[in-house]
Amino acid sequence: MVGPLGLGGCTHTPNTYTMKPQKVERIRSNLGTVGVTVSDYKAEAEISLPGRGVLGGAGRGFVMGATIPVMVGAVSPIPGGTVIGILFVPIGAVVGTFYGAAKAAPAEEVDKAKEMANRTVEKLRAMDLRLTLQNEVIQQGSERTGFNIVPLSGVGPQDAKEVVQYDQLQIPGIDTVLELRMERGGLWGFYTVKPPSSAFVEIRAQLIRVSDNEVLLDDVVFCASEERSYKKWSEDEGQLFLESIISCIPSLAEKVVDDFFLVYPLAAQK
Amino acid sequence: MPYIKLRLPTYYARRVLPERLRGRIDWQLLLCLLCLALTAGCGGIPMAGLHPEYPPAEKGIFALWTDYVKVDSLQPMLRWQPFPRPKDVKADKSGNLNRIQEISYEVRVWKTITGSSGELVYARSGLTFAHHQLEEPLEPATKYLWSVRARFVLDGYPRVTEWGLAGYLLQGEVVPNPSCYRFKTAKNQ
Repeated sequence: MVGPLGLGGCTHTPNTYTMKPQKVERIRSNLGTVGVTVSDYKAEAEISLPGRGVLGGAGRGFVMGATIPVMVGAVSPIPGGTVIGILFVPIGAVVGTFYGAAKAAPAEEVDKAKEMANRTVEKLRAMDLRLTLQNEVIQQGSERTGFNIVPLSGVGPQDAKEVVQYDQLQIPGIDTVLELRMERGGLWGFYTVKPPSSAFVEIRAQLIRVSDNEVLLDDVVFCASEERSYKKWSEDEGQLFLESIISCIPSLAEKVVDDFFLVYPLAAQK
Repeated sequence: MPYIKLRLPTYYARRVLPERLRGRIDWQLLLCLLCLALTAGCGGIPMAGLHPEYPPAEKGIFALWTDYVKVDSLQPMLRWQPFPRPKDVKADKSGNLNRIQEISYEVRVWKTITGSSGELVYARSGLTFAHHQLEEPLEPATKYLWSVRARFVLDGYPRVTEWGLAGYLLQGEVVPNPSCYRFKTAKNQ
């Protein structure tokens, strides 16, 4: 019971990796011309920064200090470790609060980093990486898969909740749509006093049959850069942050092309 | 006392949470995290794709990821399971694997930068055998990630296996990621 809830249950495995090979190949064998469309809305930006000043640091230190004893207790081989960990929560919270206050990043530095990150996000939005992603998927898909993969512009979802009814649209010659939604991007770090963070991009891809809007394949694909401190990310006008996000696009396109058109599921793991 | 990797919750939050969490924390997720912590030390090493034979995948009891196994050369001979594996053939009810042709392998090696991300330093495809000696020397005393996949043709169309991963399997994330196979070169060769 623990296994499926633990490693198996928490890990996100792309659908094509676990489907029966016959099913995946049946879907692929019925693909004619695939139109690649991309969402019209901008990705949600998430910027994770350190706690702001003494108060911010103390708050995060409190949360850290209260959480760590429970986590350590849970993973320890001592019987009743979690309960023992809970008993140490008040002490951990107090120590964490002082530690957080002492180690906190100065408020001005955090504000500067936030401004820089926001400016970089604006630059990224102006560059419109959605189109870059669409072009990369088309190029890599055409070169590597043997399928006829073409651009399909102006029909992608206008907002995050919209479900496009492709059968209602006039898209002659296209029987399957590969819909790409760039959902989130930014800097992701743990909720600690001064966490390092990774630049990340998350996209959702769906392969949809036009005749009846059936979703044939559906997946969320994720790219994360190396970890750096908030100071590093804001150096040189946020250049590293910008470059890391941009460098994710070809990798994400490769993964979408691999997982949807190329990967042959292997027998069960382990 | 077994060695406890305290980075476990950090990595879960940084790498896995963004994939699983959409702006909310719920009890199921917390239960998942707890189970993850408890099961990290149980059983064998979870693997996906073609398994590495050399350098082997080794993992500490409570570690999420595999260890950086020391190799004895700057141009190590990487070895992995040949494709198709006996269990793939056994599971192949449709007979697809009888029709595959032109099996080859693709290998990538990344030098780690910070954490477990990396810069691609070596890539080869079209490899005929399930082993490959690196043709260029790597840097001494450096940690590397690597992975391998098979490429083949099925009914005239190109196909691949998923990238080989071990430990906590980040199959939804592009490579390189912390689940890639790992080795490190010695200081003096």
